[in-house]
Amino acid sequence: MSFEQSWWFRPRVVFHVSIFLYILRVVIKIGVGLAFASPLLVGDGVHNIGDAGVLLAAYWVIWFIANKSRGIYGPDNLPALFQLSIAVLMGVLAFWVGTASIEGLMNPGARHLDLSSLGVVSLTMVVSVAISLGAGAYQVRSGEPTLVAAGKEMRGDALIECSILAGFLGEYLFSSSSIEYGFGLVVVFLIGKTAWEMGSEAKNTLLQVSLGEAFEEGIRALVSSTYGVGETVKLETYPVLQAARIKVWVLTQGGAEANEDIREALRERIREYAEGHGHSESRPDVYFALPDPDWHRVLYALVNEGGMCFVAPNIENADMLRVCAIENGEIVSGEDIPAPKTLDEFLALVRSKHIRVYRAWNEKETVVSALHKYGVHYKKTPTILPPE
Amino acid sequence: MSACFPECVRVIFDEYDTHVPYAADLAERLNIPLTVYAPIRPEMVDLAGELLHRTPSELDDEMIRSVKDEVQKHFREPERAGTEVSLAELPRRQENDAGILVSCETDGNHTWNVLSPAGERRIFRTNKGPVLIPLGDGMSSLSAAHSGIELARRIGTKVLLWHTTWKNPLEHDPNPRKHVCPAAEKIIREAESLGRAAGVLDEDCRVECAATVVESIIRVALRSGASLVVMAGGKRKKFGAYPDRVRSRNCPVPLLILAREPS
Repeated sequence: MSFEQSWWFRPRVVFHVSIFLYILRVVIKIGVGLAFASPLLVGDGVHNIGDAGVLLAAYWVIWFIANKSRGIYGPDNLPALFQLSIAVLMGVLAFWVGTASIEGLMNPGARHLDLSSLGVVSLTMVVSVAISLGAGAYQVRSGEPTLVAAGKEMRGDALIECSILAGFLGEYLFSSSSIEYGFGLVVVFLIGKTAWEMGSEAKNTLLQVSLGEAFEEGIRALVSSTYGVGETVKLETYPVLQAARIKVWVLTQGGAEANEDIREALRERIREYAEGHGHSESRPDVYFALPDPDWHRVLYALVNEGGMCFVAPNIENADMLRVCAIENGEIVSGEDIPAPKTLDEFLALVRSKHIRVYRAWNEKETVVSALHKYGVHYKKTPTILPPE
Repeated sequence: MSACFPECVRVIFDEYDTHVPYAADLAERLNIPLTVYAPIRPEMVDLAGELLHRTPSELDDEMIRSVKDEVQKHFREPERAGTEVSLAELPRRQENDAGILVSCETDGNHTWNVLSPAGERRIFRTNKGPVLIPLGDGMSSLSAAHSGIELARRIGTKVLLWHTTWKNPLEHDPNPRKHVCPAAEKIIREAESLGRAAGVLDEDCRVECAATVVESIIRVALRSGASLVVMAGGKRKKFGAYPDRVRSRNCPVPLLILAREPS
């Protein structure tokens, strides 16, 4: 059994453990922050309450997908909506911390941090960093997209917490609360940057923005180089957060069995291509379109001499006509009818049978031009061999 | 064991260009002549000649010229093309004739090396895909390897050797190559050394524990972008020989089935 498949990494278990760790972190930060009147610590704790709330919402999302997804055709959007809500929440938080930090900078000396307070604050932050890094890695390892997004955000929290700790150390060493608030602004920048990236990713997913012209050209070249594929009718590529979604519509001449083989091969080839272009996860889908059969009829003038058939030099010599139905460039059926006696009868027959091409060995110019008026093209046969 | 070193490509003429473009491209790339058969009974020619007031030989010449003109269109360099047109039936294959017949009718032509182009008009698409040679555990596989390697060398591409095996319950190594039976291993090694000697083999034979042989051959051909699959005629099985089953599954990749050797 591989590590990834173990019970410990099942999404449900990861969720429960994560929620417990989030609440533990919130209680520690807010408790200590209130005890030492630190807006930065309380703010970070509130931020973590938001994280816990979003994670609970994600838990609901996953439950929804698992239990109520019948008849819902856009579940791909749920992780993106979740990520977008995290991004917005982080943006709001960045604004809140930024405001508190600027206010603190404008009132220096309002607060003094002693050694015992520093010890408690430092221990709080070290525990928080350990929880953030450990839980973040744990969530990412689960592989479930919603948890992966939360895990990345959790890792970002560790960076923020380190900055906060450095701020407190500076505040103690230089007896200046301005350092704490200065670090607060650094935290604001980091939160804002992460929020922007997560928001852009979610926006690209929700709007199904193409993965780029070069990427699509590569896919097109790959598909057209695959034997059995006649033409790429349509191609759609867009991200689902980190993963790539690729939909391709192709024209093929083969039957159902050949199409099944082509579908499997194309999926495999596209997956390899996407992996080579930075999309470690991709979901390619191949759809088949029916080719235009270009159905039409071709008329052959034939001589039937005692059961031996060959292409007649012209309609005057013909005693039989063979009407062939053409589909996808091949004769699919034929019908023999007696040749008409006059040119008018022949032209009437050509019209009634909706003939597109007339073939004989060496037809007279008068007949050719008469046919041309009805939109029928004359084409000389290369041999006198009749069509089968 | 005989190897296929084609000296001529043959094709039966049809007005709807089903096989002629592929045959012309193959002949041109191998730099060997193309013989086109347009079988017309002499009695037909006599009768048509009377109607047209021409001698049968005049009519024959005209038809040959006409067919040749149609075929030449498919060559990139028509002036260099060595095309011969015959108004006779496709002859029976001579014992030493290693020529290739380009035709979709693989079932009725077991005496010929039949190449079914699968709707393709050219050997290569955008890239020069390798020649796939599925290997079994019989000596006929080596015949396919000889032919496939020689063809690959002459058309300027690589070969891809492939074998599928049952899992050996006594072997715990996940590497499928370790599960190959000794008879097949011998064939694989020989084919690998032939490919390396010809400079057309870049990787060891791919071995899989595939669920089904026929589907796996087609899928590996498609996945690897192979431009041609070369298979020996093979033994008849309950549901037909493997190459015939690959063909009847409408393999989208051109397939060369070598003539069955007389038992």
